[in-house]
Amino acid sequence: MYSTHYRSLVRLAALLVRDVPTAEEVVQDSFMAMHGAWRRIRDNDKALSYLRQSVVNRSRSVLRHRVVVDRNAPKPSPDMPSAEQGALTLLDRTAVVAALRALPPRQREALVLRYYGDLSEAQIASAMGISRGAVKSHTARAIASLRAVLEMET
Amino acid sequence: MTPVNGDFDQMLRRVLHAEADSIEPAEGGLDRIRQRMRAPWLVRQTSLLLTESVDLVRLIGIRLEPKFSGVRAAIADRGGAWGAFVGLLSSMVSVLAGLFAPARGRGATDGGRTGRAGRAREGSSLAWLRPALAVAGAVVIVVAGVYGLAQVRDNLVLELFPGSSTPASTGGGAASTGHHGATMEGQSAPAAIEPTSTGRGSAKASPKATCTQAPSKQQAAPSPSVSVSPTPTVTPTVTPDPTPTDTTTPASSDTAAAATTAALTVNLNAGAQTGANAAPTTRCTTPSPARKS
Repeated sequence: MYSTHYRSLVRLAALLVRDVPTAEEVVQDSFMAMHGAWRRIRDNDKALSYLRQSVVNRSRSVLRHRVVVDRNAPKPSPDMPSAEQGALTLLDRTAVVAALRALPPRQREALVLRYYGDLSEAQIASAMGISRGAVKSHTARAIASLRAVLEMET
Repeated sequence: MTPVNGDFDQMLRRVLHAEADSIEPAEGGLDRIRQRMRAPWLVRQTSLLLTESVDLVRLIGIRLEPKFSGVRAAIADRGGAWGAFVGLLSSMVSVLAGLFAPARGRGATDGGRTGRAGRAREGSSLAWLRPALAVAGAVVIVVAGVYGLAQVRDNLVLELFPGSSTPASTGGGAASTGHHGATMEGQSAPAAIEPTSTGRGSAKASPKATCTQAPSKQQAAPSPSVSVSPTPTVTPTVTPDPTPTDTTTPASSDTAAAATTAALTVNLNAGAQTGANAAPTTRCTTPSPARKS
């Protein structure tokens, strides 16, 4: 389980919390929680789902702690080099990532789980602890706002 | 899924994968997990608590940053940290001196420095301190009293009734068992009123059963002189309370009145009629319907 999923989970958490050491801690905590709850899980699929949900929840907690810090953190400068590129497909990934980070947490989670985790709606709903309709709503809003931000920059 | 533009979809997927693939977790993650699993629960909780506390302090610091800057400015105005510390210390000492020596006059503590207006200002700023101290003292006294009383009560219960949790439990248990000879120190239990032998007297509610208490053990012996006159009270008061009182009517069977009374005898002690240790005999007499008619 560790060798298969640890790296991808750390990357997923890093996309959510924007910090690799914190992401590692989050994933390690999730593995520990899974170990503690193994009597209830007893299944690899369930374990992976449990891990993913735990990572998302713990990332949320980290972000909640960071709220005040993030308020005072310097915001990314608006003039990114990708604005010069013209086409959407040629956008620098920094701009996309910056726009992604500017999204609300739930929308960002939905996008990351969908486009990085390649999860289905049901899996995203399970990982985020929300309904499938809410997943659809978050995803649609996130894509709309992302597209608006990126088009403004181009 | 929400229909989106395929290009945008692909671009987003590609960017996210590229961003995530650039992240490489540190080696030894499994060892760290194992190490953290091996740590005792207390250590883990303590470290968690410390981490949370540090976060909390940091957040509080960020929140109070404007006030800290004001304090820093005030310290700078006072001539540096040492000057501010000395000023604060001197003001605290003067305040304490004013609190603990109010009768001697605050003018002496002030040293004639501040004057009357200064004293008034100081008193008004500390006016809240005395009621606060009084309330705090009262709370402490009440809490200590509650805890102390609980301890004393528990100790008393344990010393007086070492085998039982509460003293009432023994009496209740003895009474509830129905053994009428349950005694303490050889005496018969006073609960000799339990109409279990014949339930007729108490079950019939129409005539009131009249019973009298045998006053002593000697009277429990059969003596015709003590025979109770069969005076049935005809008052139809219904008394569902099955409390027949004790009588000493041992040999009233040959009397004419005895024929008209249905004797409800609840003999609570088998040897009551003979022995000197007899418990008071309970005999309840109930007037028969024939007598009434």
